[in-house]
Amino acid sequence: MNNHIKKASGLSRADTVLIRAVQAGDMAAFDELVLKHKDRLFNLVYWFLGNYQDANDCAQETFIKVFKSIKKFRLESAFSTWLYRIAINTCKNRIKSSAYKWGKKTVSLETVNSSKNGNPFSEIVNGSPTPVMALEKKERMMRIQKAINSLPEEQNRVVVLRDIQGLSYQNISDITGLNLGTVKSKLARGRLALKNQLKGRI
Amino acid sequence: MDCAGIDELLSEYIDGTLDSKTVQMVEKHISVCVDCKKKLASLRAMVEELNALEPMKAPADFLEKIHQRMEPRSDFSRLFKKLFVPFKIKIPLQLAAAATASILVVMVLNLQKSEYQKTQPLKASKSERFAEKSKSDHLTYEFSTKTRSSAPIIEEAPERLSDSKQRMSAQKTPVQPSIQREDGPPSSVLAKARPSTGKAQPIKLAMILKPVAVVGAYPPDITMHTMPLTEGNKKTIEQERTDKDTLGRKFEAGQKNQIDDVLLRMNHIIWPLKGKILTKEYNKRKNRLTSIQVQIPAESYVSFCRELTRLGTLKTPPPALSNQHLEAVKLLINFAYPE
Repeated sequence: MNNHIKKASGLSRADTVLIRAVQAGDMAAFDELVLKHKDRLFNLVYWFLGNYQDANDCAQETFIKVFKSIKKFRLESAFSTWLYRIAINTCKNRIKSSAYKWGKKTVSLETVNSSKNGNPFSEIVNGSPTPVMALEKKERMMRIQKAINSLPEEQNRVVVLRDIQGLSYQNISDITGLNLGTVKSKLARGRLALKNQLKGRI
Repeated sequence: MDCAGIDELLSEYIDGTLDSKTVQMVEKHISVCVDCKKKLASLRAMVEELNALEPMKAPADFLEKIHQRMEPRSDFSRLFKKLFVPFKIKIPLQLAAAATASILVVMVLNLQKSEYQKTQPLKASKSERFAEKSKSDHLTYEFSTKTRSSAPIIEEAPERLSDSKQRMSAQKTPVQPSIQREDGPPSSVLAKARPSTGKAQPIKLAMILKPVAVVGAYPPDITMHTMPLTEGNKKTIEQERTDKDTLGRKFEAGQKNQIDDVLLRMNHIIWPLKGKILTKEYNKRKNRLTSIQVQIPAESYVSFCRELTRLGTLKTPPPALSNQHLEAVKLLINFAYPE
């Protein structure tokens, strides 16, 4: 039975076990589930929103929503697909909220200051041999982030899911609800737009 | 296939999702088209750059924060979040609302104050109305007092002003008997009419005045000239008498004004003893002084009584002072005139 579910939904055994445990009321299993997916989810949400604090808040909210509705999850799709779908909806709501619009108009002190959790690039492992190269890398990151965030919403989603998260077209289609053809065209247009924006800078 | 058609396939060509036939077509075009070859190279570089981006990691306290947010919140924290979160939006709005509310409250209070001031004269308190009434009574009293003094029927000593009703009755009652009363002694009437001031009742004396003699009526300090009354010196004598009239009134010996005469003689007794006349009553028809109330220092009481006998005969001997500690004595003297 379990093997049938694993084949049908593409769930890893660990995810299935953990989800069932959470559905049975095991909080430790939920913590394990969070720890397993938090970084990938956080990366996704960050590239959607382009703000570290908003990403942190939205990622936490996404997991809270997962916990609240996990009993309704029937294991018919991959947990990550369900998780990312919830994350996209949470990000959409956040983008629509007045707090996010207000934050876009003002400069967040937390982003400017290099606090432990405030700097979006503080977590990036600096493998550059020299400080100049490290600075160039940071600048390149900021340019890419700005270009991705300037894309239209659906192009942004598709590009992030494909080129940053490395998901397949089918997964992207499942998460976004777009058909495969639309995903391909959105991805092609998004990549071209990005290439034009980053022309000569990469 | 032209360059525009190849452009749309480059993205999928990079991802390797094109079928083999389309892949061959794209590769054939790229081999001959330098521009499309460069486009493919730059697009592939960009995609590889995105793929190579360092993944963003969640903060270390990510799970802890989730636990905190999942804990059942108290009503206070829920209310706090509802009221103040997000701070950037709600606090400025709340400050603006508070400022607006303060301005409104100040405006309403100012309006109420002005309304109150407008309605204040109409809604005067009971005590204020009473004060107004007392004031009007006082004015009436003063007016009536002035009226009385301009037509001098009776004069009263200063009384308490607070009891306006008693004053009103006091001012009316003594006037009427002075006109009506001709025969009976006024003492009883005066005693009833006198407002109860809480002070001692005056000592009542009744005396029969001696017949008025012009010469005898003059007080001792008036010099009498004994010279033959001739037409030549008559005016001179009368002029001297007039000059020495202490009341400042013209005294005509031939007319025998009994009121002035009795008053003049009483004053000459009272003033040296440092006393004063409090009230006087007249009989206007007969042009007579019917009674007089005087105040004499207690130590001068005996002297006053002795001097009084010079003016006439007392019907009853003056009573002795019962209270030896009095500073002053009031006496009500009723006059009777020999027919």
